[in-house]
Amino acid sequence: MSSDARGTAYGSPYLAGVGIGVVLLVAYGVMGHGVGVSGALTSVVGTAATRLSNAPVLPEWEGYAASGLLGLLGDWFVVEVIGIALGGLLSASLAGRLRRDTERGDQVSVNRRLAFAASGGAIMGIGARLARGCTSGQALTGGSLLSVGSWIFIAAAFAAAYLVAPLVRREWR
Amino acid sequence: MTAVRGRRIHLALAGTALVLGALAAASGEVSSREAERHPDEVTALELARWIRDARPGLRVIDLRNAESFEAFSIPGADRMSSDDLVRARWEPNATVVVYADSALAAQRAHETLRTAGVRDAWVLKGGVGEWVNTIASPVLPANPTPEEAAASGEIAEMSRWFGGVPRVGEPRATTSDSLRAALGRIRRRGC
Amino acid sequence: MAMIAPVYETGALGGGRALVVALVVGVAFGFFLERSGLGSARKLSAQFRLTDFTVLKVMFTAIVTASLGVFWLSRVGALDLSRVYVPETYLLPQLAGGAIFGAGLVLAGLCPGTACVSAATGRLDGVAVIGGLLVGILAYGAMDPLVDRFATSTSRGTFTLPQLIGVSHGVTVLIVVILALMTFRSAEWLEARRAARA
Repeated sequence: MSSDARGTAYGSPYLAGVGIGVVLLVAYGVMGHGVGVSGALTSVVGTAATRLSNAPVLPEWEGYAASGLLGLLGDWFVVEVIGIALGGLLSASLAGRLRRDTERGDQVSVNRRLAFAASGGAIMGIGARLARGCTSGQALTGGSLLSVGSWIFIAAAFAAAYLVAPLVRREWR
Repeated sequence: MTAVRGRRIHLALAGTALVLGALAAASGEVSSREAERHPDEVTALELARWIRDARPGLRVIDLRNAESFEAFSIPGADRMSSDDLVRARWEPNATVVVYADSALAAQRAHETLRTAGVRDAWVLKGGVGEWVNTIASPVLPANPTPEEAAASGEIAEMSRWFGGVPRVGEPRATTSDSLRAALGRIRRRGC
Repeated sequence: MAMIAPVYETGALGGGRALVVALVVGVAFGFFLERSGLGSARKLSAQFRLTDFTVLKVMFTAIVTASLGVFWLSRVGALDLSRVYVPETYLLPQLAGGAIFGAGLVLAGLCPGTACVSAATGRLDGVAVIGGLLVGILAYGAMDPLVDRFATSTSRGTFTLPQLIGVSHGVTVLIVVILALMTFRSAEWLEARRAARA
């Protein structure tokens, strides 16, 4: 499909890809590192877990626990993720694609879709921690920097996705 | 964007990528100077040797903010703001090493020192992050080759001299909680 | 020639200006993701039903653009590649983590980045994915002591494709470009065939 049911047509995926590639280069050039999303979410969880447990720092969250909410806003990746949301918001409002909705197949209930979304998210959370990154941090950043482990991540993720896809087909019918 | 114009743009992009890729292949490596250091850069290990051997006239200057300095700083470092640095007076035989949050700030500080007449002015290569990775909390290879073993030996010894905790592979460190938290924040990079 | 980039050296902690950069980078990233339609779980998951190849196109064009850029910026001395953080390689954990991630991805229909975009544009399923991610990350934290040995195994440090294959950086980039273009060609062909049938 080349466009949302309402709203303007989507832009060229190739041009968007070039745009994201340039964004990556800016990050490398200014910050010396790439983008990432799962790391920011880990900071949120790590900070909350550490605060709630009253321990000075929990070893499993080493490197991810900030000093409270304000500390989180000093985390580069947390600010970046806030930016991602804002950027999405901006693009969607310009294109008339803003609306409260739950995307799902015509024959699927909202609850069913949300259950799949949440469980898929939880599984991704575990995978991303194990692999030390998600599609942004590993596939895009590590991939463009030619890291072997990142390319292994890309191959494994796509392979697993295609293997599991037939089970999920009917969710979008 | 019309379909035809879109196609033309995409083909132009593809062609550009192919040409740049081919030229890259012809170039081979990025630079023969990949491993080259800037002049006036000192590695963390070298600085550690200077500190341990009490090199005469050595001054280590930390240009970061007070909070970062309190959380962790290189042993013996003095904290200065860039304004302080401009107004500072130096001994004639001073060896001054600077580090900051950004390489740019460190390099600017280096220029300030040179302008002020400090002949032996250095920038710490890799900043405090490199110090943490090399001295404070180095990770040594689990199965080292003979060359790695020799280098690891010196790093481990140097690290322990500074009260650091060298680790093999990646087991849990046993330094104090707050120090670990501070080091963790510095060491964690990327997602 | 003096290499000016990267400007910043330390890790995640940034001064005010670094955070402004973070915001700008994030906004641009999210903007392009949404613009290409990847904020829609239906469209994104269609990649895995083989009816829509936007994910592949966006991702690999970004990788090609950035890897060409990294090569050439370094080559002309504008970027000091040795100061750019390259994610380390952990062979088994990234294989296993990647597979687990991929399975979760197709169940959810969104990845972490696109879930943020989706949620920001009002989609409740995007919010659900983010909620799930936080729970999954928390769960991993709880199981961390058990899996730590595996998670830190088979480390190869900074290990790049040129080192693995034994060719130069430039040749590797060319290979990536050619593979990407071939993938795009196949994708366009598959999409055209599907459209012709419809």
